[in-house]
Amino acid sequence: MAQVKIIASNETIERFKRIVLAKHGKLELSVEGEEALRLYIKKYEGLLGGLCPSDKDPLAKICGIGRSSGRRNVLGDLEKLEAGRL
Amino acid sequence: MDTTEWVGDADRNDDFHDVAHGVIESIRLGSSPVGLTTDFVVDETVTLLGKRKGFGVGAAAEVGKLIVASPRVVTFFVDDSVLKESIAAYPRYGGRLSLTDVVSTVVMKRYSVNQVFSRDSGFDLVSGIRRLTKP
Repeated sequence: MAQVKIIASNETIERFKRIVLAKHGKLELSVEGEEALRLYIKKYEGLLGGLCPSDKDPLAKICGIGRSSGRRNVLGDLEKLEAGRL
Repeated sequence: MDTTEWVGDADRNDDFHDVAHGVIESIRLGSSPVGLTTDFVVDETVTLLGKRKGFGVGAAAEVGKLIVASPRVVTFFVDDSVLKESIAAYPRYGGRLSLTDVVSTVVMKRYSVNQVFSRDSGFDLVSGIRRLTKP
């Protein structure tokens, strides 16, 4: 298996490791350069202590936000959507 | 997280409302890990809900906004390489998986995620991915 050595600042590596552990529960560094690490950190840094209380999470507002006028089945509707019949 | 869960949770008149709500709640309350979805799934979810009579396009758009805003859900924005890989993989499933679903499997493999919450048995065709219908 090939290996790639990454040279980056301690802070960048540390933040990257914390985010990967938060997302996957394990650390597996693959082919990433420092710039790739920075982009990754920027994209997912919200995972580090950025979680709001669960009752404030936007997911709480999705449940039953609307009601179709008749009984619906998402699997059936997806087939219709793909066939252009919805 | 695929479209079936988001739509089911959002629409009180969907057959999967109760079970899908359980899945979304497990993510919100932390009994399931942070969720991963894609912009393709958000697109499909909003489009489908918006076409349902009585649901309302405003409510459909709000669902998309809420998914993207949640810190407990990572929304992956499909890039050139993921799209090309997904298009190349699409014929492998003989039409049982939509391109949106294939994109989800490609993104999952990139992020070493091997469990998908979905009602769509098409995902059972994908090796290395386990479909879950409850938390």
